[in-house]
Amino acid sequence: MDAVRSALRDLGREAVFLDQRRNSSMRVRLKPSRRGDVNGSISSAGEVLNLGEIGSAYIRPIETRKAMPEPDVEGKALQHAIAVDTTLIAWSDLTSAQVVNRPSAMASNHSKPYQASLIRNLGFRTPRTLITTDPAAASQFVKSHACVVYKSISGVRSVVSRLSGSDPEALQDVANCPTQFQEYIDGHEVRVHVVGRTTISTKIDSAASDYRYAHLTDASVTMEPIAIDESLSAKCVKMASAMGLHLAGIDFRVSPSGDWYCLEVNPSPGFTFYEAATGQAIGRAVAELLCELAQENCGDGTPRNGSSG
Amino acid sequence: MIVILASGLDREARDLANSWKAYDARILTAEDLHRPGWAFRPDDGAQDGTCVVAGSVVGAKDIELALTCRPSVLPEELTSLHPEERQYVAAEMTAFLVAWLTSLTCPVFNRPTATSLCGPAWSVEHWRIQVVRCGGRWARTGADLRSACVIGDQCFNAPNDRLERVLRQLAIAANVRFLRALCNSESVVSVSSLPRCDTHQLRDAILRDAGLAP
Repeated sequence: MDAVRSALRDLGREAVFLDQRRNSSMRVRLKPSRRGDVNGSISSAGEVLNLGEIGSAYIRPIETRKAMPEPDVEGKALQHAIAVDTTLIAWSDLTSAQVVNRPSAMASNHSKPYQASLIRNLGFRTPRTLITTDPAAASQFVKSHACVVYKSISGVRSVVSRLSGSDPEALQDVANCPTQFQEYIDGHEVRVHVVGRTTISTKIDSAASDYRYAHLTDASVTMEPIAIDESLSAKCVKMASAMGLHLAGIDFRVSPSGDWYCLEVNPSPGFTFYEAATGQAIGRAVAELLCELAQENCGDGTPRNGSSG
Repeated sequence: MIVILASGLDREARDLANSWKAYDARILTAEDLHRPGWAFRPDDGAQDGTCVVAGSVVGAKDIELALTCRPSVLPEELTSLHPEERQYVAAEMTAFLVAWLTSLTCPVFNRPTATSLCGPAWSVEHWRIQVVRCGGRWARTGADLRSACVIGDQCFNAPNDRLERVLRQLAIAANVRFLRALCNSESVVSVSSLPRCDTHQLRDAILRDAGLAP
């Protein structure tokens, strides 16, 4: 969020920042019309923002309770904060302003296998997968692949771990909860950030099963910018667009024979991790996209406000 | 077989299963999700896999209709698990069911979305705006309320033609085949996409829409 705000400042563009931590002092009113517009206002500390003036918005909401400052976490203040968030989520989904990204579009990775089915339908290869509560089925799947990872099905505790073949006893635990197993694709990872109609790609080499948590196992991670095929870039843009995403972080694993497997589409990518390692100007690209979307959204060509929060 | 996804404590779901005995209706509970027997290969689709319904392992291909009477699996239902694990496991089970129900080829009332096992997880504010967009009026409360229902192409018990048109439009906007709303003669007061079939008329309409009854 800071990276985008800073880039917007560098571009000399006006943006309003809505801080979730201050929800308890905000008032939001939505006024729907039969023509489909959703106008209204947000007021806070004596200032009023007319929602109809917003041309584009960048949103990264977190769970309301986690965003609240400590004294406000119970009672009426929390209820009010949740109501503000709920109303803003509804606005983000329904406004004619351009939103990066709409909450309904961001929801697909709450269920990884659900999202994987969308990914496959859009023409990408995904690793073979089994979700099971049956130890025998899990064992059979493990035997039929050289190496297998297990990962969460939901967006909670989303860490990928390699399965140790020497521990068949552990497979008995799958009876407690559906567990997702996936063939491990040897090779390296590529993160493709789709920003509007462009892509920014980063190659990642790491011995860790999940390079985002490589520090926990002292495994090294190296990242470098790479250029991907124009056709693959176009396919990534098309997939993000089909999922309703202006901004996406698409994770690929590339096998030694050059096959690309799509692992996941992150609809709210933490791109500063890649930006810091490679110097790729992703935040700047997001800021430029917000300006472009605000411009497109305004019929008379007059730039409207950007908003983030 | 008809599968009803509901809590084991849901009396209405039990009544529904009893009334559909002739169709081999069974309730799939949270307990079924921590029993051995589920095997879902998303690349192949749910039909080729197995599932656990009312304690028995069955082929997913035998399911002719799925009715989802819950938006998610709740941590509080998972009493046999350690309290610290319940929230995570409930999220995993819900995410699993989203993918599994999406993959079923039989009729599903309602198809899940990424955030709900049964239609969109819209807030009251979101429903209010959609009602207005569909040409209706919204009221926070009202007297003489009646429960109207859209099932597929049919609308039951709407107070008047205007509200019937609004509810049909609303079901299309929400992309659901089942929609229930409380209305007075002028306005919509609340909306839900969770199937509640408390009359023979509604139960028969679901069976007809699913192609299980003439």
